[in-house]
Amino acid sequence: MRIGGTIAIYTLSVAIFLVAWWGFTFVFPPIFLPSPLATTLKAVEITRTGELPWNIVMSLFRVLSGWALGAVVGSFLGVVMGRLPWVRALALPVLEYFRFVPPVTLVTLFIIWFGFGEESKIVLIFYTAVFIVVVNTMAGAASVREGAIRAARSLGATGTQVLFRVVVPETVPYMVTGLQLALSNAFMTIVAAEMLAAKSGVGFMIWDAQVYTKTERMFVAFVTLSLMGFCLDRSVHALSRRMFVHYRVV
Amino acid sequence: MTEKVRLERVTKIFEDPRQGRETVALKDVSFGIEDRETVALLGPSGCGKTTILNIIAGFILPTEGKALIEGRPITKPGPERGVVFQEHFLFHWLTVEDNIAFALKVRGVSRKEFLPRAHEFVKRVGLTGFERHYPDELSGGMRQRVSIARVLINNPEILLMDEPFAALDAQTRLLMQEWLLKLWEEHQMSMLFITHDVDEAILMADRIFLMGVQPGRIIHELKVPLPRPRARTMLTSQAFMETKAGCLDLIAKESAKIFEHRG
Ligand SMILES: Nc1ncnc2c1ncn2[C@@H]1O[C@H](COP(=O)(O)OP(=O)(O)OP(=O)(O)O)[C@@H](O)[C@H]1O
Ligand SMILES: [Mg+2]
Repeated sequence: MRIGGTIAIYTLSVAIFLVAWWGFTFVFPPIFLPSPLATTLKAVEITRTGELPWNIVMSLFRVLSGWALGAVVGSFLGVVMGRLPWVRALALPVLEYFRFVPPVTLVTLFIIWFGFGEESKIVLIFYTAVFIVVVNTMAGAASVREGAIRAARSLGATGTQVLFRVVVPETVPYMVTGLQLALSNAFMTIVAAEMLAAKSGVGFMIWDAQVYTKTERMFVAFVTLSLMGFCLDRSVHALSRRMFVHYRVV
Repeated sequence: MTEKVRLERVTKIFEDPRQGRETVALKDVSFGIEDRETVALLGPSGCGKTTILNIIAGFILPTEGKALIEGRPITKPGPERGVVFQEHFLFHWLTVEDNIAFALKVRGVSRKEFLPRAHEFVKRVGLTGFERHYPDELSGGMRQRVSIARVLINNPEILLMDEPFAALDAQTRLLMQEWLLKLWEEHQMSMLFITHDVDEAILMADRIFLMGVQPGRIIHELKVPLPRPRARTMLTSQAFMETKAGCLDLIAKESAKIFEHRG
């Protein structure tokens, strides 16, 4: 019932949007605003040639590999920082400053450091993700219920066992929040990075289309982006809910 | 030596370095808990009951004085001292059976070995059928029984309980008290029972220490003349009433003193 309602609302909302889009195509010439139909046809065409799938795969590859690396390193660092007050005290100011450096601004620097290949983009995504995961995990690890730790210790758990059997499980909801935020940020960053410095990816498609005024391609890219982002976000939500049913993931 | 636990002139001072303030949570507290004896700590909020439990549990160290378990100084928590908290502090990501088996798991006992033992304790605390449930799916009383089973599986020398039933409604509390008394008959261990409910203290304990505030200290010791095994029906017995009257008398006198003191 609820799910059916949600689907209906989503469909209706998209339908209204499409009709509005279509309506505006009568006002503006196709070079400004291609119609939904023209966009769809273009999408079919560049799917056939393999261009669109290839760009999607490249963007996904960069996002997911950088994000996964960031997730592993960020969770580890976050737990360490959350549990060791002096490490946290030293690291927090640095985190606070770096927070105001948008990852995209580092594209050029990372190209100087890591070359024009995939490494620089993956490092950029890693950087984007690790930050967000660290901040969230750290907050979680620092707020683990002292009573739960005491209970475990008095049941005979060693320091390491307390860490893996109490601190980490108690931190899971915060980690998951961090991972979700990191993924949507990673997604935005990679598109921007691909527009600036790549020869493939959905971001590159937009940049390429803009240079040659291939508006239809640009619109295909927009629709692809929104669908990709939506699907990624939903899958991560659904997956983490399913994987951590009893960890009080929100 | 039959004493399980001994506190010798224990003083605990909490310092707040930011405000340069000191709280004398405990001042010169001395007492012992005999083998199989239940001692209740009864007193107003802030008199240091939890602080005493934390010291015996090994969570914190006394500022002055000595805390001993079977003659040895207490320096850290240990499985021979089972702690039951007011908030159960169960592991909500583990099932009932895995919560109860936690102590065995950290000792490296294999699942095949610990499951039957865990199930034995599930049964002992009356939760058969709930082995695979998660703490969030249980009632308050059931959660407290899980947290008691979780420490009982260690076969502790002493059970340290910090207002274990305070969060429960009156009916459930009475049932839990009866249940704990029955459990005690089976296990016969020593117990430190913290409460601010006079009836509960008398029903559960062999000796009651009345505590006072500022500084936190023991002001009176009371022997409970009720025989074992204890039962709910004793709540209305002559001996119970007399003990309660004496207890309330002492509490009233102490409160009056504080009242005058504060003017
Ligand atoms: N970690 C701490 N830091 C500073 N002061 C503390 C700390 N723990 C306890 N105190 C103080 O010590 C005193 C005794 O606290 P304690 O928790 O032992 O009281 P209690 O008798 O258990 O009270 P309640 O019935 O409310 O649980 C209180 O004044 C409390 O504020
Ligand atoms: Mg207390």
